[in-house]
Amino acid sequence: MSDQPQAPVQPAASQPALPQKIRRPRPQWLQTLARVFREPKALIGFIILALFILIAIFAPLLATHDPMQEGALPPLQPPSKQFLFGTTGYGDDVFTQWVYATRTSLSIGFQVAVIATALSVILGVYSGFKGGKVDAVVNWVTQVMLVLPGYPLIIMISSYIPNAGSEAIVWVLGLTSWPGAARMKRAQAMTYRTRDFVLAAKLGGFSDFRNMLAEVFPNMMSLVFNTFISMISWGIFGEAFLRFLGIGSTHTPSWGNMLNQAQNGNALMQGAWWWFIPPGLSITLVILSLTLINYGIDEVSNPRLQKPLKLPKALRRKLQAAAGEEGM
Amino acid sequence: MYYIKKLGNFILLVWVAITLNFLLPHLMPGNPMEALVAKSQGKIDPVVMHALALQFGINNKPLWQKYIDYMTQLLHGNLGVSITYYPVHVSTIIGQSLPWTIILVGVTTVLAFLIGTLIGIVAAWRRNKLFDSLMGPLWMFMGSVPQFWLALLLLYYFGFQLGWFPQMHSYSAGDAPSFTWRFLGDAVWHSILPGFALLITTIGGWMLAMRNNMIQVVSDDFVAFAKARGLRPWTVMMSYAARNAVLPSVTQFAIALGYAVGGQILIEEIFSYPGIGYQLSQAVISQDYPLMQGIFLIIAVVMLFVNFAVDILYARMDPRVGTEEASA
Repeated sequence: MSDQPQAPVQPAASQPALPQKIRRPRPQWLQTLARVFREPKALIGFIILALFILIAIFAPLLATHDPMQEGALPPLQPPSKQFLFGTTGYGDDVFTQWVYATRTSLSIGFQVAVIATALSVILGVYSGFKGGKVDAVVNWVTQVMLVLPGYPLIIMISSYIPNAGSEAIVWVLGLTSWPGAARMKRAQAMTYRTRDFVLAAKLGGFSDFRNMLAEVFPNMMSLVFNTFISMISWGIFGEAFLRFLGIGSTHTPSWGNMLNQAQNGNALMQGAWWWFIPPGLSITLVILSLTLINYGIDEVSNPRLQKPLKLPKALRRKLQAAAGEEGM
Repeated sequence: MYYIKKLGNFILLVWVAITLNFLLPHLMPGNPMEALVAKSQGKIDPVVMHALALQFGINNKPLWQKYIDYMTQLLHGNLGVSITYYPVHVSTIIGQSLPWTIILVGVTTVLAFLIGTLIGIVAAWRRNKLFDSLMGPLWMFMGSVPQFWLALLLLYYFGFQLGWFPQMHSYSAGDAPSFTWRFLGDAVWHSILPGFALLITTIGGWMLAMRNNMIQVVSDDFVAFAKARGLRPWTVMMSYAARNAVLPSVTQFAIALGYAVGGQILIEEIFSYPGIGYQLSQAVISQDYPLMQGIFLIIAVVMLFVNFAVDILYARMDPRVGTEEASA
């Protein structure tokens, strides 16, 4: 602490006015966003995801056939001008089904992500920050949920729900997927508990709740976003998984539902590749795009993974020597 | 003290799993019996129905009485009788399908771990070189492919179009399991497609985990020192850097091996591979609740045990773990 705090900035009159060219720096979140977009992997991820979101939003405009008109078309037509992705064995247009399925699957993914992320943040931050009895209980429940076998549990629960629709699937997936993420947030919130800026806020009269909301939570944004992205991924996959097994309503088309129909309709044996390629490839691409986005965020927010800066050689050697002394 | 605590926790968790298994069907609206009656449409023998009703505890006993009955049955090792395979015991079915699952999923887990870890080691060693930048995206893509969809594609192309591999089951029809070379060869032949689908999609996770651990070790002083001593790069990479980075992966590997018992629900279902996962999905489809409960219980107990065993082993390998817990 050799340098004393500087005297408050001199009155503007005595100081030459700041050159007009220097603009105010852009807000922090914009800078971060720009850095994420500069990461080519993340950029590709965002582009793919945006494409699917657009398809989901404009589904009614894109559909080439009436989605309600079930089974009115010639079955098992290969892709052609009239049927962009061919038709199913039940006489439905695959492209129309796929467009609407994109809507269902993405929206289920987002809903699951909202539920799971919210739960993990609330439980993780609260128990990590507060400690004590609440923490002990939450932590124990988390541990139990983590060691119970995930897929079999989800299957069990959802197969006991009679006529499980999309909503039921969303809740089952959302309520079972928060523990891992909550544990990570708890660990991080615990490290913040004794950090100076949190203590300062506490001494400044912040209530615990306000402290969590205003000091701890914003510092965990990258982790929260990371969880959200992974949970979308999980929601989409989980939905496909359950629907493929025939759990849940078969009326709204979704990617999993399409695959289930293709499987039941013996698409494989009839060589109808156009029936099961679009939904499966879509799941792959969306999950890939989400993985890429997460990877990009990680690359930006995790200093350990950052590429070494291209410094002049002399400086680099100096830095290396310094790092060596510190025992890095 | 640490061991006793862990053992107590293990027993507690097993109790939670059993209770959950008991409560789930009772918590859900309606009861499995009604669903079954509606579904069977009089096809099930009334005698069987009565036996099932007894088994589900569909009677007017209070819940706690049913719970005690259920526990006593379990203590006698009685998991009940399957509906689909009536009057075969659930434990018999599980006993028959476990070996298939353990071999298929176990072997692929070992292979995926070995291959993935090796790729991760080399990728971290040659970080940002050609190999690393090729392997990262490649396996990331492979990890995004939904396993069951990949399995469908493989089945379609290699099993159906080309006819190189059998399309279903774990051995040829009309064969009885025996320890002859012919039978073993046949079984291996049948497991190649499902095994390959599993392998391809799981290598990425191992690779990424190993690469991340390894990157941190590679920059350590002792690695630089080993290089400076003029050791062969391979020796430094394997016996110095990798050896110190592999422990977290090994822990994960032990847990993954335990999870192998849970089977691969969708892959086994697609290939009609008679393992635990296949039985579980069949139980779900045919609403065979006793079988479902029994399988869930077995999977849960095995996984809990593996987690417990890993904790104990970890404490033995790293003495700090035990003391930390004891002092906390």
